[in-house]
Amino acid sequence: MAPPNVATPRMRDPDERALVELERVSKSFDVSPPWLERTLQRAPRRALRAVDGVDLAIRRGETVALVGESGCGKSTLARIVVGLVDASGGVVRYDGSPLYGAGVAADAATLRRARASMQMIFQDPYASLNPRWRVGAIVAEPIVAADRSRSRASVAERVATLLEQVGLAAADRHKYPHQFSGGQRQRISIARALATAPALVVCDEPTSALDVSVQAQVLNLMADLKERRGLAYLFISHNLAVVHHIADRVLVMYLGRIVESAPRRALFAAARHPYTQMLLDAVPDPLRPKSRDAGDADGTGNGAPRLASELPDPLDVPAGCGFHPRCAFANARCRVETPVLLDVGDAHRVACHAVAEGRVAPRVAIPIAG
Amino acid sequence: MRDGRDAARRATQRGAAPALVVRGLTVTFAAGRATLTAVDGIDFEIASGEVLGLVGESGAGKSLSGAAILGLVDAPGRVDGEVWLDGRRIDTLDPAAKRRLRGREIGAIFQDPLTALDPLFTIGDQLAETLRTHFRLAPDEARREAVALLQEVGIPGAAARYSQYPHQFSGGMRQRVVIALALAGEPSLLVADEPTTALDVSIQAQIVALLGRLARERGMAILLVTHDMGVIASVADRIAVMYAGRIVETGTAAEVIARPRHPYTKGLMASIPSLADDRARLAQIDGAMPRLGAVPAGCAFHPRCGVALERCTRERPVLVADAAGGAGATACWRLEDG
Repeated sequence: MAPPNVATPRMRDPDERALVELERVSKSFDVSPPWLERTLQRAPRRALRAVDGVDLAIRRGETVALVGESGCGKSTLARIVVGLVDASGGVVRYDGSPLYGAGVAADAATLRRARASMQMIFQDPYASLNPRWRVGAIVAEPIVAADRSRSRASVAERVATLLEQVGLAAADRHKYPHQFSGGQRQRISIARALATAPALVVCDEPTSALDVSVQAQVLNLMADLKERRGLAYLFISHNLAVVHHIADRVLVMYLGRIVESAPRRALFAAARHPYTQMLLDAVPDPLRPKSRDAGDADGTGNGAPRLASELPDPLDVPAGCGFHPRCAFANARCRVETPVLLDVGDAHRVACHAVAEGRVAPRVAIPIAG
Repeated sequence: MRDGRDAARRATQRGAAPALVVRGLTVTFAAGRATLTAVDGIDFEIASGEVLGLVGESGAGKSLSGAAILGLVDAPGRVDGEVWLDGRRIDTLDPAAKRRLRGREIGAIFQDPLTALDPLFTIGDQLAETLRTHFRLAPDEARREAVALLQEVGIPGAAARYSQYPHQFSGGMRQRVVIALALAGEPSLLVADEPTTALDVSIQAQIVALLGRLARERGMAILLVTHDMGVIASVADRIAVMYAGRIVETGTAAEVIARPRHPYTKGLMASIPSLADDRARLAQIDGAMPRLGAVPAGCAFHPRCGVALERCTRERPVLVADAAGGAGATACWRLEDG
C-alpha cells in the first residue's frame, strides 16, 4: 500500500537542536484527606509525586519512546508536554523559549504557535472523539481554532486532504464516529492531530486498544507520516516490542523518574537497569520463545526471582532507589541513596548503583543476527 | 514441568476421554427477520491438564464461545450444538443445573478482576463462602481451605491477607484472588476470558505462568480466550484460531506459531512487532473483521486474503488435517489445491 522504505526514518540523522526540552520537571498531585478529616484526626496533607525531576529533550524528526508500568507517571509527563497538566516544578521549553513551568509566563503568540505545533493522540479511540460530531467537524475544529479567518471552502478542502492522508475517504467527513471501527477511529484522531501541521505528536498508548492486525496498520501509517512530514513523536507505551519497532530513543520510567535512557539499538542490545531487564523478560513475544516458567515467581519456590512483586504504592515510595524492593541486585546503598542518571557511554544513561558498581551484567534482548 | 503436559498428551493419545468436547457450537441472534451468526459451528476438545488457546481479534466470536460453554448466553442469543464435560452433555441441562455446574465443575475468570469481587466483604469471607457453597465444611475448615487456596495461587502472607478487602489488593493480586475463587469448586474445566488483558506486562507473565502451573498440577483443562499471541505462546499447548465465528486453524502451539498455514494466521503472526526482528514496516492485513450480518460468502477471510482463489468467494472451506502429517488442521482452499 505504501512505497517500500528506502531510507527508514530511524536511519536519518535527526536535527541536533531540541524541539521540546523538559528541565527538572515535576508534578505532585494533592491527595490529602478532606479538610474536616485533617482537622479532626490530625491527618497530614499528602502529595503523590507522579513526575519527579525529569529531564527530556525531543529533537525534530525523532521518535522518543517512554516506557513503564501503569502508575509510573508516563501519561502525566505526556500531558505536561502538551500543556494539559501544569507542572509543579521545572520548565518546558519549545524551540528554545520557555513555555510552561513554575514562574514561566510565555506570551500569547508563543503559546499559540507552540500549541499548534504539539498535538496529541489518545489511547481510547472510542472516548477521544465526540460521538455527536461528524468526522468533518472533528477534524476541522483545530484548523478553525488556529485560524479563524479561514474560509469554509478552504477548511473543507484541508479536511478532505487530511482524511485521505490517513487512509480514509474524503466522503467519510459526513459520517459519525460510531460508523467506524477502532482502527479507523484512531486514523480520525491522527487526522485531527495533523490538522495544525504539528512538528511533534504526543501519542499516549495509541495502539493498545487495537487488535494486532489493526495495530500494524496504524504503526505503519505513523511511520509513513513521520517520513513524509518529518514528524517527531513522543510515544508512550508499555509494550516493549512496539517500542522496539518504532523508537529512535527509549526512556524507561519508574515511579516518576527516568531510570534508563538510550538509543533504541543500544537499549535492546544491552539493557543495563535491572528494571529494564525485568520488563524485557516479561515481554510476551511469541517469536521469542523462552522458558515457560520464566514468570513464575509466585511463592512456589521453584520460579525465577526476577519478576518478584509489583509496583509499590506511589504514595509510599521506598527510600533510596524506588526499585530496590523488587531488585535482585539491591544492597544497603540502594536502600538509602537515590541513584542519579550516569553516562555509561554511547548516549546511554542509567540510574542504578548496581550498574555503576559493576554488579549487573548488560542484558541482550535481541539475538545478534548471523 | 513438562511431565504434566506430556502426561496429558499421552492420555489423549491413548484415547482417554477429553475433559471438554465441543461439537458444532453455534451462537445466533435474531435481529428482526435476519439471523446473525456470531459463532458458526465450531468443534474442539480439551484434555485434562491441557491449555487450549482460543485466539482471535475483536468480533471473532471467541468470548461468546466461552460464554456459550458456560451457559451464559441469554436471550435473544440462541446456542446450538453440543457441549460435553467429563462425558456428560451439559448444554441441555436446565438453568438451575447449569448454575450448579458453574463454579463447581467449570470455573470462570474474566478480564476485570475488580468486578468479580464484592467490595464489601473481605476476600477471605468471599472464598470461605464459596467453599461452603460447594462442600459441607465447618467454618474453621473453610477458613483453612481458603488460606491454602490463597497460598496455592501465590499470595504472599495469605493468612494475614485473608481479612483484607479487595481494594487493598493490587490488580495482579486481585486476579490471583479471582483465580482462587474459580478453583474453590475444584473444577475440571477453567474458562479464562482475557485474564491478563487489564494487567501490566510484568504481572501478565506471572498470571500466565500461574495458569500453566495450575493446569499441570491440578490436571485441570483450561480454555484460554485471548487476542494476545504472546500470552498464548507462553502457556497454551494447543491453539485454535478464530475468524468471523469460525475456527480457521488449529494445531499445537509450537506448530501454529512457528509455521502458521492459514493466510489469516500468517498475516496475524507477521503483524506482531517482535524483539526478534528489525523490520522497518510491519506486515499488515488491510481491512477489518467483517461485521455480524455482513460475513462474506465462501471463506469469510477472502476479501482480505492476498492469495484468494475464485473458489474461495463461493465455497466455504472446512477444517482439513495437515497433509504433511502435523497435528494441525486448516480451513483454506489454497492448501487443499496445493
